[in-house]
Amino acid sequence: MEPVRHYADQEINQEPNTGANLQKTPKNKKRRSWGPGLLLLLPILLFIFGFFIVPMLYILYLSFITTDEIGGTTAAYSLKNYAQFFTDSYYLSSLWLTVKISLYTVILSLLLAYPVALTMAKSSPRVRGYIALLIASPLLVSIVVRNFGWYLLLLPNGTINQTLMSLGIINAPLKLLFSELGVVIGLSNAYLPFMILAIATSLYNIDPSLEKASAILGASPLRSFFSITLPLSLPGIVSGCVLVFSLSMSAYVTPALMGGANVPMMPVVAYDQINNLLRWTFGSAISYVLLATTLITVIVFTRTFERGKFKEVFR
Amino acid sequence: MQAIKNDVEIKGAFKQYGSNIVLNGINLGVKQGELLTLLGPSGCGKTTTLNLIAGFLEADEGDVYIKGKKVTKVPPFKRDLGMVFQTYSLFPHMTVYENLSFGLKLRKVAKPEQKKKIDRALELVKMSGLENRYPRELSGGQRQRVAISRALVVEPELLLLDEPLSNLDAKLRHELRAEIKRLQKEIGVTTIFVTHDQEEALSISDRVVVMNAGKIEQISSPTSIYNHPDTEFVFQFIGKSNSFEGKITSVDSRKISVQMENEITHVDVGNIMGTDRACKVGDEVKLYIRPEKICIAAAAENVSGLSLDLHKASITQLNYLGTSWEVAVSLLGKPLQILTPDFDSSWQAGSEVYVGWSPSDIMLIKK
Amino acid sequence: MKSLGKLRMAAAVITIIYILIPLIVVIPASFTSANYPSFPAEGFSFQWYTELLNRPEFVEAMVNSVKFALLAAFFSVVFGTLGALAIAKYDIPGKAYLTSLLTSPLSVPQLVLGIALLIYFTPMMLAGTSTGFLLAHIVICIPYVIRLVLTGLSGFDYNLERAAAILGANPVVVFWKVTLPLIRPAIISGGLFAFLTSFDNVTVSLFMVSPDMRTLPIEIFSQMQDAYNPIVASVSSLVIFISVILIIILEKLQGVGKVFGGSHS
Repeated sequence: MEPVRHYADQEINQEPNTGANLQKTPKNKKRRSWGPGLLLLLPILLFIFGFFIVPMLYILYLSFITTDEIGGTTAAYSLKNYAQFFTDSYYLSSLWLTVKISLYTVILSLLLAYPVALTMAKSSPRVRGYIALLIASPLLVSIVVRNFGWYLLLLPNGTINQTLMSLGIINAPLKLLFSELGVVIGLSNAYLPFMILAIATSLYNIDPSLEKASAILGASPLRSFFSITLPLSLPGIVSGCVLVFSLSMSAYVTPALMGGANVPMMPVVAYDQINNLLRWTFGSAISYVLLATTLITVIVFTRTFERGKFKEVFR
Repeated sequence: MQAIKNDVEIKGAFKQYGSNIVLNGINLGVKQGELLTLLGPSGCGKTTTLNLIAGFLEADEGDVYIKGKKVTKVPPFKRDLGMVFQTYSLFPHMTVYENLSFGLKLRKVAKPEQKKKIDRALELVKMSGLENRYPRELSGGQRQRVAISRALVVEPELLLLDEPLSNLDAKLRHELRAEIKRLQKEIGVTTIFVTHDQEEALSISDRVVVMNAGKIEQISSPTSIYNHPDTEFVFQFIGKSNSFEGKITSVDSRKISVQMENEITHVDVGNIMGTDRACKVGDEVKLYIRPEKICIAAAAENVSGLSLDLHKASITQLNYLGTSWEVAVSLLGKPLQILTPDFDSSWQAGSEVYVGWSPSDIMLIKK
Repeated sequence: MKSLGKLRMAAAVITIIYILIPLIVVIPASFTSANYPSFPAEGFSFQWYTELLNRPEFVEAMVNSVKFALLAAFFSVVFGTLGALAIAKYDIPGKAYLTSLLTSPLSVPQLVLGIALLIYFTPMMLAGTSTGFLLAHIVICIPYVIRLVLTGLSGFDYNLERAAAILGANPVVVFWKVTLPLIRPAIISGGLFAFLTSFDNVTVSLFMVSPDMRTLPIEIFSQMQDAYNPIVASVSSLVIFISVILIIILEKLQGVGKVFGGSHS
């Protein structure tokens, strides 16, 4: 879901750097043979290989297998599963729908997230902690519960429609539930915290004196924001967008509950193929199409920024 | 020669990481009851040497003996040592008392006996009454005092100190330095102290080992390390130094004359550094002198008691340091740093002065 | 200048409310006396809580959820802690790759993981069994444990282990008396996190459950797909209650925001 952060061991090195730096091993660090380490790693490595890597490779293999309809005994390697996907307009439109809804989700999340991230960056560590607690806690409550909350709010006679109607803004209830809008609301609500935390982290890394320097040079706060803060927070924006996009692309529960049959996103289609139609080889192919589409979009998006106008920020 | 027995003996230690040679043939003997300092720049091998004695590392070649017993392959927890680390390394989840009793428990010391020993050890470092504090409730100086008493409470064969003062501020560093010296003399435990701070090394030690690039440059008392370094490295590493180049014009039984441009200076024959000490007329040499060993005066006759080697120089910069003046002069077109308590208020940049030194204060090395 | 700050604050407050609102409305809705769920609730009663006790499938699902979450947390903590210790302490070649490998289940969509495990488990006779369910949940919990324990070890002063060794402690004593007590908060956080991850999971579980073995989120999910019934609100409130308790403990130990990557400082 998120790149693993590596915490470099912090060395205390107060010695003047005279003489050749022969002693490559810092004194505070352990240098041992790694035999015993391998022993500690063995259980988890076997587990991850046996119950993650192998299954993932197995369905990749299956996606290239075509079984005959009756017994499935004669297996042949082919691209038929993929060909079927890319020639059927139903699947293609589902893929497009998935990308489209994920993009909407990213945009909505970004707009909603930035002010919170900025507020966190400008607050004391204590307040930051409280905000982080408020926004991250919902991530630890089951998604079905959060979806149920939205269901109560979005029903045709639910809270939002009733409020709008009693205020006279609308005459008839809006179709919020079982619509694309409902899915975008559900998804952005679920993944907003990741966007906020990603942007906030990059904002923390901006040297506060830069804004002062910009002000001394005569820039208004708004100008400082657009020419200093915003560009420097791009790495956070990019990683937040990547995260929210990837999560939205493969979300199953929210599209199923908030969109239902009206919004057949890829995960819903894949689930149907596997669990209801038992078409495992085709379902495997759909899984990898989904993975590949997400990966390619993410790479193109990231590259564009890393090589764009602000490429220096990503160094 | 073997009047005092060596408590620690390292013989032919060699250690290498990949292509980096960290220890290049270390031979070292630590006498019983002495405070020996390993001094050198980062990466010189001093910490590696200490880790060898502690047992955290095993050398590729060579052996370590503690109290005459070969311990090369003995793990640290069986060596019965005391150690103090730069990072204090007090167990944060244990109180001061629990930190001290940790080693005693492992030595199966009875409870009442533990209490007695801990009380004494804390009293020794003036930390009585803080038994129930946790490390994070103590200041840096207090933590290091507790760390010292934790190392001493088990009455170790040896006390190892790995840059114990480096994380403290200057005032505390001075205070604790004196304290460690006093404690060490009081208890008489053989102590090995690692530091990169030369002032600390000179002030605290009975003997100093200067290391560089995995080798020992010199083992001597602090005064002879400072005044009569064996090598160019030691001269440059300890204190500040000025250097000139010249050529030997004459050698007699007491002095060597060296010509620098058109001036002549004299060096005591005992002041030759380096491995090749056979000097003859015509040898190219390098001369070294410390800034505070140079006299400076407005007129030649004012340079008291030194009839030899007066040179004319001009002042380029004056810096006031509080207890003394730092005077930069140009001698024969080369910069020379002088540290002097005497100062003539008429001096300013450009003033002509006389500088001079005694032949016993200048060191010589063949090029 | 001031108004800009106020605008930012107002926007931030709106977003935070947006994030929290679906959870806020569930609890009052569970006290409705009507037989359809709504917010605000109609009337006030505890009937949907008492109803809960009369529905054995919910009670059973609840027991299953807790049981599997505990087991998944236990196994992922054991495997994960050992692995994290090995990565942090030893000079194992390719450390960065190893960490990525062990946390990689996080970067694969749960849907795809569920599909892969269902297809993989079926010929092994593990599909729809409690063993299969548990194995799948351990896979999704391990990355969190690895990450949390590694974070806990990142500031670990290895000189503490040396100090203990010099004082005469053998490696076993060093581990029990020094290393383990010091990384215990990280291990507990990892365990709590693993528990919640398993307890909340829907997507992977959907592929692993059978009619005889269901968990609470799965019950809620299928209730929501079939008929909307206020009992969903009372079950959901129960889930929120359990989550909040664990979140409070987690916050005390580690800081919830930190776990997801936003640091406190």
